[in-house]
Amino acid sequence: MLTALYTGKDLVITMANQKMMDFWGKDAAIIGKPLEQAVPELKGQPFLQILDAVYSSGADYHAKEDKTELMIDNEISSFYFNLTYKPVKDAKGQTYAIIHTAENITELVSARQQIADTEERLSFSLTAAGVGTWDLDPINSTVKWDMRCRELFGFPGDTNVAYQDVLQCIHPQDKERVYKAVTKAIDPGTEGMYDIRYRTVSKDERYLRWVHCKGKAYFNKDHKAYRFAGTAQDITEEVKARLREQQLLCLVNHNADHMSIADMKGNLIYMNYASRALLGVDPDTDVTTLSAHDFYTTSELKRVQQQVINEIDPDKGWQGIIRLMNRITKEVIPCHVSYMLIEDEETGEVIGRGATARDMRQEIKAKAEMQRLATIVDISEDFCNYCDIEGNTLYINEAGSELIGVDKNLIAATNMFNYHSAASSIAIREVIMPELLANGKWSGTLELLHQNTGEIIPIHKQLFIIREELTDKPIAFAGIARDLRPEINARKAMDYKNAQLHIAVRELEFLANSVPAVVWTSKPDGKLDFINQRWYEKAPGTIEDALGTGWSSTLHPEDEQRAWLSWKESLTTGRPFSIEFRLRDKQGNYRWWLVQALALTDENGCIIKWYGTNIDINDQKELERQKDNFLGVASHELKTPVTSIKAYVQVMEMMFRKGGDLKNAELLAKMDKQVNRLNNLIADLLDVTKINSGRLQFDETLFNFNDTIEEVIEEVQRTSGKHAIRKQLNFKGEITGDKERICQVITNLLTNAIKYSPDANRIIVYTEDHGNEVQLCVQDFGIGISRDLQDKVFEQFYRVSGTKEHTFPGLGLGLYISSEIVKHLRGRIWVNSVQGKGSTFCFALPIKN
Amino acid sequence: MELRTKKIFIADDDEAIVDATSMMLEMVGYEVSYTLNGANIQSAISKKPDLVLLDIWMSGIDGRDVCKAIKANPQTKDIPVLMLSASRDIRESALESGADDFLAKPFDMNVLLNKIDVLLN
Repeated sequence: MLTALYTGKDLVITMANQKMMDFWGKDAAIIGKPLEQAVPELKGQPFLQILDAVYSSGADYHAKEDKTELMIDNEISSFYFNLTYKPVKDAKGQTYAIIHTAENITELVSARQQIADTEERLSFSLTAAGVGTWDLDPINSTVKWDMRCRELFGFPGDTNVAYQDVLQCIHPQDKERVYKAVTKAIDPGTEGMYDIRYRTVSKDERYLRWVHCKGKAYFNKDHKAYRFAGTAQDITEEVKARLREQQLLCLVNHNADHMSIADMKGNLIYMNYASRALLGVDPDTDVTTLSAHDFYTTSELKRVQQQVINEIDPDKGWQGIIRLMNRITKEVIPCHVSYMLIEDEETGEVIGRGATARDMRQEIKAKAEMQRLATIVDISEDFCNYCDIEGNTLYINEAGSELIGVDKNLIAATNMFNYHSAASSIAIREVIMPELLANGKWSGTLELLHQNTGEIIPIHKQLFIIREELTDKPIAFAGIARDLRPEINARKAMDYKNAQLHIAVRELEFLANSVPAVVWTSKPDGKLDFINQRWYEKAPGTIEDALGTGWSSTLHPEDEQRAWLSWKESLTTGRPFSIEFRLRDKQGNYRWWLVQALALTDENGCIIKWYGTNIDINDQKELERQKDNFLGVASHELKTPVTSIKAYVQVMEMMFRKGGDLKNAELLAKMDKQVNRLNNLIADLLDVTKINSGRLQFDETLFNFNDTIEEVIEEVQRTSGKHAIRKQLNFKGEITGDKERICQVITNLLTNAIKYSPDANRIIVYTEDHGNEVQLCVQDFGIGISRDLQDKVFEQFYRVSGTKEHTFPGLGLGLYISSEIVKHLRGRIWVNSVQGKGSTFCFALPIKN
Repeated sequence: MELRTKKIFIADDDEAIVDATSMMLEMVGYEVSYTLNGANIQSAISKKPDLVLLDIWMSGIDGRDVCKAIKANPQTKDIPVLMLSASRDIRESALESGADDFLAKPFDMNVLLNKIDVLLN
């Protein structure tokens, strides 16, 4: 307690305890001094007046929390006291001194002020934050809450609110959730924490708010919650903002354009779905692990970093084409990109950049296609034009302007009726335009009018209506037209050619029907499509019956398979068809026909038609048969008397020899030789006849070649004593062939060698083995053959003359027959000769057939 | 020449050939019988000659058919048959009909005698 005694009107400090002096900041020097003098800081403050009033009135003065400002340590400081000024009176009741007592409650006041300040600040903060406080007594179910809280729950400020009232304000859909949260919080088994967001509805149901309530329950020693307090914050705007944010995020996420946000270093913060899909980022990938650098090509990245980033305007951003890259496929994707800088709202500092990008590929493709289309239209040989709905020409291509004889630059805005003929113009107005407007398109023939020559140009035109995309209103029409003049001219030329062709066909038919043979044609599949009248003369049925495959019904059953096989082979291969078969005639008899056909092909070698002939060879066949018979008969008839003559000659020779008449025996021996010669001549003639008619028959046997040669040499040697036949047989083996005929060839060569070397005394026969063929040569040392005649010796009837001009005997058939035999046996025959020195005749035969 | 006592039957419709051949064969010791008529062949062959000289074309009769019949008959199948013909092209079919050998006309008598000798021995 601060105590001081002031005496007299001047308030001289008679006594002051230490506390007072400490309070004043004075020492004992102030004792005896007037208060005003001792503590000059009191000047200006009400204390002196109050003391004066107490001295004068003699009434006590009490003040609570009286504020005093004093100089302490050269600083003015404020203090609070509960002070009393009590007058001290004398016996007369006159005041002669005042006792000043004061209790320094500066700390208390200060603390209280601090608390008040704090509460005030708290209140301001809570008010500013929209947070209310509540305090629930769970035991008594009473609630204390501030104004803000009341507002949140829709209660007027002065209402007494019970806990049940609070519950009524909770949104029906949230009541259960709140109840559970409260129950959990005041459960002594929990920590007592409470944190929930729910809706409140004002009593008048005019306001719906979202509140975020947080609080804690406090438990007494009986583990009962005695206090449950906390805050309630209006988060309605926050919820709305979050909803808007979610809606916005949904919009951005699902936007078709690529949207992303990155910090200024290029590190990604966000990518929407379109962006992920475009650039190859999995929906679940955390984009913050990626850098925007992953989505550029090297060169493009350099351009963006060094040029584009620097060009982003803080207000307008940057727009342009950037080539982004899909990080998975590495496909480069041209995009129209807008960059914008993102600034911190508070500081204005650039904290990142956002980007939207539109995939330009389709647009570029469409543009390119449009360009291509425009080029195609422009260079098209067809007339292309484009007019507004009134018919004013907006575009005409090169071909079009040429067709109507006007420069395309001059035709702009010319009405199309100007370059259509009068008749076409009327048709366009009255018929075509209504149909075009109704159906969207029209096609047909029209006439253009050449602007210089006045020529009418027939065209085939197609028109299409163009409509405004949004309103579907017709705004223009496009047309494409083909000049019909070439077509018309071509048709006329075609008609003329067809007429000519028709005439040619008739002439051909006439020719075909005139020839003596049956003439026919077939399609590539072999079905006959034409057969001349000759067929009808001999075949049963009509020509129509024969067409297609009808002709085959007249085939001889024995020839059917062979005929079809051969025909099919020709149809397949295109090789000429040639066969003899029998067909039934009108009388039901079969006649032989030689049927031949050739294929006509196009420039690619494909068969387009078969041209065939049937020649009646039945008579010829009969003749051949007769000739065959005759040959056989002639052979028999000629040889029979020769046989008899020979037999008689040999019998007579034998008889003469037996009788010792050698002279006559020799004569008969000579006769026998002549008979042999006659027989050979007959045989040669018959062989030649058979060769010429293709009737020479051959056997085929396997025989020892050397044995055969030696037989022939022995036989021929017997006829010539003069010429020694020497042999050098280097082939030792067997060959397959007609042994008789080969003997005939060797005999012919040996007899020729003897005949044509009258002055020589030897003949050499030698063979050589050439692997797959055996060669036999007969060498003579006779008259030889000149080089220019060597090829002729194998011709029929050819004979060689000697230098002595004598004609050698013989028909000249031997070598011809030998040549034909060797050829038939698939061999070769030739001669090497030097005139005057001799000849070597050789033939070679395959060892195996 | 060796004396032969074998019987040779000649079937040929040419009298001169038969005459000349018979003379030659008899000169060398064969007993010869013949027919100019193909129709008597069967009865003549039934007398079992040692060898048959058979012409192919015999006035309406084909010697190959006769040969087949001879060879088909167990009584006569072992009698050698030498077929004769003016056409040597017919050799193959002659042998196919069962003939033991073939000789083209006109033939050398020595060749004929050699062939007969071979067939009989």
